[in-house]
Amino acid sequence: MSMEDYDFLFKIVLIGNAGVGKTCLVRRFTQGLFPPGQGATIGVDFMIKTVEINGEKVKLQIWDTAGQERFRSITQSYYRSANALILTYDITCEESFRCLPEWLREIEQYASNKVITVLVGNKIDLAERREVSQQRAEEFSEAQDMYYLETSAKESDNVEKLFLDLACRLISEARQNTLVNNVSSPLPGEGKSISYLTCCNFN
Amino acid sequence: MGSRAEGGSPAVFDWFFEAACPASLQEDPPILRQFPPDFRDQEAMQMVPKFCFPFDVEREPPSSAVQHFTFALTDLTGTRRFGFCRLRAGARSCLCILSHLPWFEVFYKLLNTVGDLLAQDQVPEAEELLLNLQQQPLPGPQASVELGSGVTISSAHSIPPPAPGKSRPLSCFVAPDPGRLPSIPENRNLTELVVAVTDENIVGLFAALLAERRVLLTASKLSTLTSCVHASCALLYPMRWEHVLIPTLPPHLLDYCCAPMPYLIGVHSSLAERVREKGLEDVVMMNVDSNVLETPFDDMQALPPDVVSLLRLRLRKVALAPGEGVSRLFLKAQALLFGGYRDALVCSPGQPVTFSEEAFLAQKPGAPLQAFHRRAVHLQLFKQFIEGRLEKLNTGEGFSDLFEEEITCSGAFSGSLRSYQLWAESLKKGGGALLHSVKAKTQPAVRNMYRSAKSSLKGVQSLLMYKEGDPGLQRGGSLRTPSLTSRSDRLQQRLPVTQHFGQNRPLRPNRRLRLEERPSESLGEGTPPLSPEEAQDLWGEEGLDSSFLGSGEELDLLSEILDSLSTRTSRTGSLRPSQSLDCCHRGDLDSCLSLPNIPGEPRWQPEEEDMPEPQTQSLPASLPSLQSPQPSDTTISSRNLTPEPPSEASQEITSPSQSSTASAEPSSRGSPKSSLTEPCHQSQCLSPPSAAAEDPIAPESPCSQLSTAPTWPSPLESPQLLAPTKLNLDTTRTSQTLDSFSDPGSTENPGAQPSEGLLTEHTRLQPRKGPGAPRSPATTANNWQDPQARSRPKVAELKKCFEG
Repeated sequence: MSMEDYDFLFKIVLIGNAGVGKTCLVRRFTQGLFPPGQGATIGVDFMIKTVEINGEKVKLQIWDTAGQERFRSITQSYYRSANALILTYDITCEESFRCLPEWLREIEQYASNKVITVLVGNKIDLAERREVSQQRAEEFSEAQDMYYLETSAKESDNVEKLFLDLACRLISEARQNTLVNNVSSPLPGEGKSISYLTCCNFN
Repeated sequence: MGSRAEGGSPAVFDWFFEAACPASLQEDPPILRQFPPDFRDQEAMQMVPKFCFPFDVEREPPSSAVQHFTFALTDLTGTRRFGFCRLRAGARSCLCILSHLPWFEVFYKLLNTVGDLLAQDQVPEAEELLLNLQQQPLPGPQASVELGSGVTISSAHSIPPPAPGKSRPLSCFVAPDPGRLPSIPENRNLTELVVAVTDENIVGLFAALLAERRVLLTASKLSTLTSCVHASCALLYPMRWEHVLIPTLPPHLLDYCCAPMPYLIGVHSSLAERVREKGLEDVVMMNVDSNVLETPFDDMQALPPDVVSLLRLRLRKVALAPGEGVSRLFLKAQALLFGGYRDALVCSPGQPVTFSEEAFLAQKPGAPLQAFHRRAVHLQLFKQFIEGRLEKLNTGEGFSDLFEEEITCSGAFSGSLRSYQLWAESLKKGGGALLHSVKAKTQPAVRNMYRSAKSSLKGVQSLLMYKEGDPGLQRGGSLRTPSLTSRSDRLQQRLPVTQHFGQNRPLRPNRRLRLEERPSESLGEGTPPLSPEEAQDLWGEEGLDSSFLGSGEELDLLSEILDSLSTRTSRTGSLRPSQSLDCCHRGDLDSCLSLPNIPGEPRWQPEEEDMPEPQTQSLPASLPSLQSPQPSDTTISSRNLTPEPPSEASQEITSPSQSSTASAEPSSRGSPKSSLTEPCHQSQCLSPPSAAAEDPIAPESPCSQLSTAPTWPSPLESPQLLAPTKLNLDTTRTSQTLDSFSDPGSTENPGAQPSEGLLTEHTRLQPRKGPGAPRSPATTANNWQDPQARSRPKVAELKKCFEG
């Protein structure tokens, strides 16, 4: 984690009901490259993945906290220092979808924090058991002004895309904040000069 | 996140092992020995030993003296376990006990005993000890457990009967009482915090935790480091630290300091530089060694000025005095900050009680408190707190605890008790339905809690049976009762609701006067590390707690409780182990309760857990000694009749006279603990003067003295036990702290380190308080007399020593 080996560092926090596959999602993305499962001992786990976007090294720290499911809602103190949130639900579990507004309630109250929130419907490999239609989820995410993606941690569908898209959005956000000289930017910046990226197409 | 309570793990501990210090940061510490011998949890065996050396092993060892520290493990469900460590002098190896119980002092003492045995190559004896301990059912708070090998874990109340036939003195551990506030010096964590950190910084730390910051503590002594972490968490009572808690961060996990979510992490100073290089953002850093708190926030300013000035002004005073002063002060602050929640509770007949955030925020318009509330409602600790309260209310259990009492006393809420009564009424009528609806609404996690509660209920019941069957316990109760008379009032007042979880009794109204006397500080936990929350978790909320009982037997309990409330009869008798004691002390209990009396009406229905009665009773009973002020402390049962006077005995024996003095100052000390201790001393000493001062009874209870002797066979302690005839009851009081302090006595700990030195001193203090009386003469050697009486001066001295 030395400061030299990346241009951007972003902290991403996973939230969502228990059993929706948050941990699997991260592990799939990082492919277990980084510390395997310390979460079992200290209640918080994180994975690191460094991706290169248009020549810039972007380091993603993806944090997963044990036991957060016991919170009916997560308060801002939990995510206020994160650059992005990945709110996950299980497309085969209606209940996990219905809990989303509760998860979002606190986040919305602090929209000024500019936390980028991505909604992820996981487990699309279990399409035959789907309980939440894609359209419904998209409508919901649009209403909430969130980016939406469906993934399968098991089949690795869209997992890479999820994090790369997120990285692009974070970079673009960071650039804007820097240009505007926005002190309150949640982005670390790390003192690096930021060069313009032409685009972030990873599809 | 974790302040989650540890679910009902059936064993007192899960695993004991000794690991050798690795030569480099890359190596894993090899396990030298373990118990049970067939322990095969590969993941634990691979991950846990690394936590035993949370410093840069390639540098000089952190200390040349033995150190005790406690790390915390949080599993994927948020359940916590603790690793109690005894790092040998020179850090060559580390003994560790893994347990879900936040019994710091108990396990430190145990580790000393085991360490001493191992040092003398008495491996079979050490294994026997561990085996006996592991086979014990979980004692309730303040229950005592006798180990076949002569080691007893006892609750403060119950005093094991003397075991005449045994040649070797029995050791006795007293399970900490989660219903009591951490007290100085019995509570090792709090004591270390107060000694190591300046008043101003303690308040700053409290403010940072209340704002749910990322907080890093660094210290060069592991024992100080983890004590400060655990103790600062405990200051939040009745709230819990809901986020990441890592009392000591091992070198391989340093990157976790970069976490974006709130955390409280302790880092040994040998690793501090490497942590700083991580590019931490918005982290509150507290260097315990230099006493410097760096924070990018104005958290102190975010608190209402009157609360801050209260803390600043009074902390200076209470920090120098033994007892619950510090804990009560912070409890008072919490009551001032959050006590208004009661006024925001909405209760309509037939409907579950709810919390109106709007009403809460509408209080004190324009006042600093309102601004604070606006932020507070977004705190995880506040959300969880409200959720917990509603759950208790809606399950019809009703409850009270130190916090509720403080609110009532301090008038931090404007509402009348009437409303609570109404609730109780409505709950009584529709209790079953409410309960049902609550359950239906609860999320899976909550449901799981219920399940575990139910299962744990069985364990509790068996415990109860065990306790009831224990003649020693009952004895203790009877003994105490007689003495209760005069002292009781005072003691009761001082002892806030020491609630034993197990008690069903409704709280009885305290005398208001008394209430005032009490210091408001209550952290409420005997076991600091866990933070009150944790402690409560074990017994109260999550664990075997009465709440669980309630959940397990919900309907029955509900009706039972309601009945008891309406009648105000305190005893639920059958359920709790402690009940027997309670019965004896009832009268005392009543006085103890601070809640306003609502004649005949139940207010907060006392939770089973909360029910302070047992403790209070015991206190009043003049058994002060029994009640060992600190639940956490392990008491030494009198069983160690062996009069091995010298070393140990001396320590433990407290001069009665001092105790008397302590008692004399009830108001100032206020803390219940102190009062308790005092009585003990008195009893021990029998010295008329002291006893006379506060409780005539004390002298009467000769039994009390028994054995302050620390549980452990360790030579030092054993002498204490010597107290000849005395009943163990009193002796139990000797707090664990003593034991912990006794560490120094242990062969390895010379007390070379300042911290240890402190410990030793504490130990001395405690012994005095408790049991020592009988031995008095010998004890004098220790010099310690009443901790309380001398307390202030002594504490100051200790502080100097520590600082030195």
